[in-house]
Amino acid sequence: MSPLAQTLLDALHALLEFAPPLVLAALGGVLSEKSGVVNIGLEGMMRFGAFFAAAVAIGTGNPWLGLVAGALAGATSAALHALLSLRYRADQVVSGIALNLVAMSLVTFLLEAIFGSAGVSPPSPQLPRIFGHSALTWLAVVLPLAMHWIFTRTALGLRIRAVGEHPRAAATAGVSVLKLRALCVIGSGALAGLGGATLSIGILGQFDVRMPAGQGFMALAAMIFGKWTPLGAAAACVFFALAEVVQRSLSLTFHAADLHLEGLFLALPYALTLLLLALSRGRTRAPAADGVPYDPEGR
Amino acid sequence: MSESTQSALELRGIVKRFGGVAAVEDVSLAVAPGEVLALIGENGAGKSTLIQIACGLYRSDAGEVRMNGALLPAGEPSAAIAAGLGVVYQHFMLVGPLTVWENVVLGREPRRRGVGAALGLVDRDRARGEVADCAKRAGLAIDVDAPAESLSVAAQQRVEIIKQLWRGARVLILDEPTAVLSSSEADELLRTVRGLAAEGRGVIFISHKLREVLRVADRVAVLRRGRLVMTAQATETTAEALAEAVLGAAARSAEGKAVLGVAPTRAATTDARAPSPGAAAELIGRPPNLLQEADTKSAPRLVARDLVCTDNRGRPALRGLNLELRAGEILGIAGVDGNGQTELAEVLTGLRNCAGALLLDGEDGLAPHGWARDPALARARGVVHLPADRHRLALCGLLSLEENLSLGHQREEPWAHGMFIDRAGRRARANELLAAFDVRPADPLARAGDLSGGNQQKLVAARELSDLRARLVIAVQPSRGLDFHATSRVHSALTAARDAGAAVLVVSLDLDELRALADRIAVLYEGRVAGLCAPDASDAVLGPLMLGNTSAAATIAQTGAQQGRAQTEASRG
Repeated sequence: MSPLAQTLLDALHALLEFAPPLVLAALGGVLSEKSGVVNIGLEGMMRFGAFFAAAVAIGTGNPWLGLVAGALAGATSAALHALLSLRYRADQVVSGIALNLVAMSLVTFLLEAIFGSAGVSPPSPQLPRIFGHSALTWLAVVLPLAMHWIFTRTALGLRIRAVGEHPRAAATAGVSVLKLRALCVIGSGALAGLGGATLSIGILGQFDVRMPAGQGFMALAAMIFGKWTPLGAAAACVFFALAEVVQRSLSLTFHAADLHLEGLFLALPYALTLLLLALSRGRTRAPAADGVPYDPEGR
Repeated sequence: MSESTQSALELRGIVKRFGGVAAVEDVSLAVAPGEVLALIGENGAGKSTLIQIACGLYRSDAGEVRMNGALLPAGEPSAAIAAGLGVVYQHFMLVGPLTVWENVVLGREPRRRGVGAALGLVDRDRARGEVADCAKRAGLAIDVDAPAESLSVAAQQRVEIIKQLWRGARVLILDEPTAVLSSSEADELLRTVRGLAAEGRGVIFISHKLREVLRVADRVAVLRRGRLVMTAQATETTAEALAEAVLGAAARSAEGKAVLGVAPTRAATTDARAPSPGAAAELIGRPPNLLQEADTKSAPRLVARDLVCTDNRGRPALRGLNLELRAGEILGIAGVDGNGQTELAEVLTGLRNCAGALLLDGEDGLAPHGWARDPALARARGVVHLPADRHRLALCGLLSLEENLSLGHQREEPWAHGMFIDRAGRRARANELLAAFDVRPADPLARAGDLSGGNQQKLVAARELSDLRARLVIAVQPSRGLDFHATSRVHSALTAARDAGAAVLVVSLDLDELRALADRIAVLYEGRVAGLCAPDASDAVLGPLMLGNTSAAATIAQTGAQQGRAQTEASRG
């Protein structure tokens, strides 16, 4: 194999490691916001997912149970967000931020309480690898297409789009706005939880207290950059992952660790996110009712 | 239609209160199959609330709704839809980015057979076909694949009607359907409504326009302050009798004085010579017009030359528009919706960029840092604006009435003192304005968003037309969605501003409104002025101009002016 082909293949492998957690979380963001609920709590939901996936996998010795636990943990925290923002019409941004803060401290506490560690959990059983990558990686490859298909071809997708654009119109057409939104938010949490599980039991094989290290916010950015579409968001995630791959190889090439410049390199993908969001401003359009609470008797 | 036949829709003893205030008080109504029942009343009379209860969006505090004799569960829109009740709302319930057919089938999507059904797959071909068929049968022209937001207002309304028909509506409720239509579009709609009734559907037709109601309805019901005050066969009543029922006999006799009382401070000095037509006169005819000789000879207040701009989607909106407007005149802008009216108003108020020349008393607004480059500069030069969309452009719904009134003047006496708000001064001035423009409730601390549409418009008029610097008034659809009462007040305020020496530009889709208000009418077609007419120009003259046929209009204007005028008079009677 020629050196160039080898380099490209390595890059592809690295991409298939870095992109899936982002893709899953970003799809979660798309699902929630398409239905009209801002989900800034993706980061926290990923964190819950990552921790509970690892904890259950370690406890039972079965990574598949860990996977289920990760999705459930994300979905449960999302159900709280749904309850606050839909039932009680709390501000969706504040509710999401609160969720992130709760996840930050609660998981840190649980890590110490259960595993007696402030840094990392013990090694967890890992999901089996298919073609050298975790099963979740391949899920992240298929899911954007599936979600695109759901949005464009199914009655459910049509209703989700309608509810996110003009909930009252959907309600007068007989669609149950709040139920559908709750379903989307909870599904969003399950996806973010799976994204978190990918980090812990898919890639690293243990939980790290720093997880997900801002990837939930990156996913949010990818969702916006991808114009609230599954395929666009997935493409944006691949792009961000590519930036991460480049960052790592640059960091190695320039011996950043020796020069104490590691932090600077680590910031590169995030700085790129900022740049892209600034450049894409004005050309993207959120679902019209995104973040607007729905009041059935509103006048 | 007699009451004895089985009713398609029946409301019995409906009561609805909002925070203790009764919006609807013991109303019973029924519509029979094949019957058109018109429901009229002022803003806030309870028409919309009644509709929301009928279709299950609101729960009533008492009373029941029956379809074909069967009781409908309260607060369940899907049950009302299933029973065959269809509502076309005043604010359309269309999801903008979805296509026409998607909007129509939303919530009841035809599924594919077999495995597809289990997956919830929409049978797109069947859905498109059914929607197209349904439109064709009802004689409604529509492109089923167009996104709803790309359609004209009239076409969106057709989509709403198709939506209800496709869902098998046996009773259709149309909430002020003609408020947003031009007169030819409204005629078309009235024909459609008669056609729907002829097929055996019951129709409830809500409107402010009495003549239209008498043309389309079999029976008329009048609501006033939440109560049903009159029902009559359309053939056995008159516009005058209906107007009296709507306004209330006592209110109506007081109307003339009330209109006189609309006194923006500056106009107060000219009140003596201001025309003060009664509400009924405004409804039916045109107010006396003071043509001011001196003003017509003076230099124009506003000159627009070769204005070119694009709309929100980047398509050409104004394509070389030329216009002159003198102080002390009202220029009406007529035209089919979407021919540049919105953009013209936005350009004149500094809300939209534009190329060309725009002179206000000789000062070019389109020069770098010119007045039309910035809404604040435009306002400082005395350009005031009554926009069509008051919720979005004119008012902050969550702020109080006094706060809304101060917007734009918030740095000036008596609203402010130095860098602080002058609370006492603001309260006093707000009370003055609320009283002068008869805004109800006249509570300076009420929230603007809680007012009815008519009172919101009066609030905007109070702020804009009381501006002492007002030299150019831009009013877009000033009476859209307003009842007679509010319309006549807003109209009087506009004529008062004109008589006090402002140049007034009124954009409206309602030719009768323009005829009642304007001194001259300019017809816009595809971003240019297709023609200038006298205010008494007939439909035969204005119609072809609105469709861009200038030569036909000119011929009619020359040869048939007398005849056209006669027609206009006839149509008014």
